[in-house]
Amino acid sequence: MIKMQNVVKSFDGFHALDDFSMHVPKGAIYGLVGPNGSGKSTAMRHLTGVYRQDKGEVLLEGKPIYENPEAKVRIANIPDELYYFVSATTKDMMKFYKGFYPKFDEKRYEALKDVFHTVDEKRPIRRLSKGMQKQSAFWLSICCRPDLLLLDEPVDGLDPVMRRQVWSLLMADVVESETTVLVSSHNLRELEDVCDHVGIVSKGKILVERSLSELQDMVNKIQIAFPESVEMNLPADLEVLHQSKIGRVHTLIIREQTEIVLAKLGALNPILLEAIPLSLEEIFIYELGGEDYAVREIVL
Amino acid sequence: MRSEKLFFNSALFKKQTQRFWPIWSLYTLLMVSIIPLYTIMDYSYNSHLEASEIAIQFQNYLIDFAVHAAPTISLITGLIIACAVWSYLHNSRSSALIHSLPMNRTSLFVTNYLTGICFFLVPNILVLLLTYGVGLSIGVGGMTGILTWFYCQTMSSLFFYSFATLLAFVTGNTLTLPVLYAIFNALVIVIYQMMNWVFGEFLYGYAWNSMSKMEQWAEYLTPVYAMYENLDYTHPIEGGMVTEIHGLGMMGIYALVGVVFTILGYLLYRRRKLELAGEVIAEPFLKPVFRVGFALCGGLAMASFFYAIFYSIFAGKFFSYMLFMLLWSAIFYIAGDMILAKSVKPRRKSLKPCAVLLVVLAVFGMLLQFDVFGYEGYTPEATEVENITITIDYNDKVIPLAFAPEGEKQEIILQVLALHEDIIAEKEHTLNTIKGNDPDMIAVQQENYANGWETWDWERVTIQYVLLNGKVVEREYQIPVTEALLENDSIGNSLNEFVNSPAVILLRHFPQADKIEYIESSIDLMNDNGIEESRWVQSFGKEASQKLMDALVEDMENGRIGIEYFLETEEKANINYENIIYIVTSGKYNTEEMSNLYKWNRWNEEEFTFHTEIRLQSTATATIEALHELGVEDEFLMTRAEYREMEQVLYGTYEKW
Repeated sequence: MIKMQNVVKSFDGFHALDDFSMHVPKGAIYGLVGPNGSGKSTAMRHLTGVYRQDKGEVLLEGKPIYENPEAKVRIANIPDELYYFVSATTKDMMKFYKGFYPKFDEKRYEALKDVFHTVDEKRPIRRLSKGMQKQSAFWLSICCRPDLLLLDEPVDGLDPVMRRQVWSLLMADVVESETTVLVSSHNLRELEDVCDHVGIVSKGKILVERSLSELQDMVNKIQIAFPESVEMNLPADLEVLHQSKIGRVHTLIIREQTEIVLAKLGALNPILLEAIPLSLEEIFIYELGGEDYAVREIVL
Repeated sequence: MRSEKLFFNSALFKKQTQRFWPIWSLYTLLMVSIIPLYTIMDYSYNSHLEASEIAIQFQNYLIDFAVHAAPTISLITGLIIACAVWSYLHNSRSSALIHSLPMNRTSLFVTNYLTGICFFLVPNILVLLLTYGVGLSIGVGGMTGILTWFYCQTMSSLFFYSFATLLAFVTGNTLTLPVLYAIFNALVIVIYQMMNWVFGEFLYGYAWNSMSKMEQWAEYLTPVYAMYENLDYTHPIEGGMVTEIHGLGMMGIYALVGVVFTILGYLLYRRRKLELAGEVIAEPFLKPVFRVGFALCGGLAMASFFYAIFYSIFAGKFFSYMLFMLLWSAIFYIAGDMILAKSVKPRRKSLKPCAVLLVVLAVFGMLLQFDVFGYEGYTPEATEVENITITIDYNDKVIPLAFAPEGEKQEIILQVLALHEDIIAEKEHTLNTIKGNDPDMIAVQQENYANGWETWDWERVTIQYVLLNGKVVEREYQIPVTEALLENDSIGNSLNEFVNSPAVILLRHFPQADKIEYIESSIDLMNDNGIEESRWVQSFGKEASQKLMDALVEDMENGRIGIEYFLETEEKANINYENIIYIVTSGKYNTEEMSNLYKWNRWNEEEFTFHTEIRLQSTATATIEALHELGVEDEFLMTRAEYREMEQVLYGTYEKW
C-alpha cells in the first residue's frame, strides 16, 4: 500500500530522514515507533504530501503522493499538532471536508454523533478541550472514508473509554473496508494491542520493520541457569542484545527465532531454560539499546 | 475534486471568503460610502443647481477620486487582502492542513489568488453599478467618471495585491510581509535619493539631475509615487468638465506588471518548502540577497545619518564616510543574519561573508575615490558634441547652445570645453575652498558684507552635453568667486567672460530669435513720495515692444546690457537698475526643445510663449533711449544704489541682496 524507498530529507544540513525505507501492506495497522527526533513525524508529513523529499520515493500503491490529488484524496490525516480555522466548528469543518473528499460520508457523520456526544458540533473547535479536539479530528477523519489513515499520537488526550471507542471504530474499518492505518505513538502498550505491523525508527532510518508476531518471535527474553560449578558459554552465533544476572539466573535478550534459541541453549544442559515473550515496549528498548539509546544509570 | 481540472476549488474559495468576511465587507462599506452614497448626499445639497453643473460635479468628483485616492486605497487593501489570503503559508500547522488536502499547488494558488481578487473586484463592480444607478436617478447619464474610477481602482488593486502576493511567497512570516511590502514600495526611490546625495557629496562634478533617466526609472519602480505624480486630469475651464485624464496607460502597464508578479509568485509557490513556514525569508536562494541588501541599505542609511550629524567635523572627508559605511554595513549584515536565524546572538558563520562584503565595498569606494571609472576627469571631444546647455544657479540662467547660430556654435563649444577642463584642473583648490581650508578664501569670507557689499559667492554651474550618439552627459560644479578671482586668471574669471559674452547674452534671453513672430513687453517702474514707495508695471503693445526689443538686441550685441555680476558690489549697484523689463514672445519655436530646456519657468507650454526678464543697466544706452521714446521718464527708473538709499530714508534700513 505504502512504499517509502530510500527517502532522504534534510533541514539546514540535518538529515531528518536518512535513507528511510518503509513498506506498509494494505489493510495493516502499522505502528511507527522511535525515540524523540527520530523522524516519525517527518515521515508522516511526506505521506500526507506536505513535504517533498530530497531523494527517494514516497508512493501510494505505486503512485507518488506529492502533488497528486488523486492519491491524497484517499488519505486522511490526524497530525500531532491540530489546526483548525479560527471560529470553525466541527460542523463547519465537516462541510469543508465534504468539498474535498468525494467519499465523505455524511450519514456516518450523523451516526457518529452518538459516539462523540461530548463534542458540541456547533462550538468552535478551538474552544474545546484538547481531548475533545482530538475527538473532533477523529470524527471528521473517519467520515472521509479514507483508504489510508495517518495518525500521529492519535489517542493522546483521550480518556480510556474514548480510546477504546476510537480503536474499535478504526479496527472495524480495517476489517470492513481494508483501511490501512499508520500510527505513530509512544504508547507502545496500546499499540501492541492494535498493531499488526511495527517499524522502529532511529536517526532517520528504519531499524526494524516486521509484523508484530514476527518481531516478537525474533526477539526473545531467555532465563537460563546452570549448576554452580558450570560457567555459561553462549554460542558465538547468537546475537545477544542484553545480558544480566541475578544469583545464578541469567537473563538474556537474544535476537533470534525462539525455536532456534531454545535449541542452541538447550544444548548447554542448563538447569533452567525458559523463553518469555517480550512486550513491544521491551523490544523497543532493547533494539534501541544497540543504537546507543538506552536507559542510563545516572549518579547525581 | 472534479473542479480540480479547472484548477479551482469552490470549497476552499467559500471557506476563505467566510473566514475573511470582515475584510471584503469593510472594503465594500467604505467604497459604497465614499462613492454612491456620497454622490447622493452631495446631490441632496446641490439639487438646486443646473443639470449641467450637477453632471460636472458628479463626473469630476469620480475622476478626482480615481486619480488622487484610488491608488492609496489600493496600496492598503492590496496588502491586507494578501496577508489574509496567504496567511496559511506562514504557520506550519495551517500550511500542513491546507497542503494535506487533495489539491495540488496550482489549484491552491489559483483558488486563493482568485479569492483575493474577488475581495476587491466584486465590491468594485457593485459600486460601479450602484453609482451608475445613482447617476441615472439624478439625470447624469455619462459613464466616464465611474468607468475611470473603476479602471484606476481595479488596475491599481490588481498591481498592489499581486505585488503583496509575490512578497508573501518570499517570506514565511506574516509579520514580515507588511514590513517587506512597505520597504519595497519605497526602496528604490529612497536608495536613489541617498545615492544621489552620496555621489553629490563625494564625486567632483556630479550633477543631481544627471541621472534623470534613472530618476524616471526610480519613480516608476516606486509605483505609489509614480501614480501620485502621473495620474492627473485637466479641465481647461475652472470648474468645468474634466476633458483629459493622464496616466491611464501607466495604470494598465502596472496591472500587466502585476500579472508578471503573479506568475513569479506562482513559480515560487510551486517550489516552496513548507518546512520554512515562520522563517523571515522562505526562499533559501534569497537569503544571501537579504543579508547583503540589508547590510548595504542599512549601512548606507546609517553612514549618511552619522555623516550628517557630524558634518562639521567630517564634511567632504570621503574616508570618514567610508569608515561609517563599513562599520554600519558590518553591523547590519550580522543583524540581518541574526534575523534570518531567529537568534539573539551573532553567528560565527556570518563573519566570513561579512568580511568579503566589506572588502568589496572598500574596493568600490577606493575606485570611486581615485576616479578609476573616469567620471570626474571626463570631458567629451568637441567632435562628439551635438549640443550643450549651460545653467547657472539652476534654471536662473539657461544658455541653450542648441539655438546658437551655426557659425558661432563651434566656437562656443570649444570655449565651454576649455572652461570645463579648467574647472576639472582646479578640483583640489575648489574642494579646499568648499571645505573651508583655503586661508585666502576664509579671510575674504570674513569680510563679507562688512562694508555692506558682497566679497565672495558660489556660482553653481551645470554643463549638459548632448552627444552625437544620443548620450547625455551632465556635470555640476560650484565655482568660488571673489573680486580678486574675477579679475585674475581663474575659472571664476573664465566663467564670467563666457556668461557675459554678447553671443551668450543673446542666447540666454532670445533663443530662436529668428523664429519670433509676436512680442509683448512691460517694465517695472517705481518712485517714492518721501513717505512710501510706489511700484507699477507699464505695458507696451506689439510695435512698441518690437522697438524696445531692437534696442535691447543692439545693447546686447555691444555688451551693454544683460551683464551678470556674480557679486553684489557697489559697482553693480550703480550699474544695475531695480527696473526689470519683461519680454513675452511667441513664434515658430521648436516647442519640444523649449519644453525640455526650460523645465520650470520661462516656457509656457499651454500658450507656446517664452518669457524673459532683463534687468535695465545704466550702460544700456539704446534701451534707455527707446524707453524715453516710449514715454518712460527717468524719475521712474532707479539704480539699485538709488533704491537702497531710498529704503534707508523710508525704512531706516535696506535689504541686503
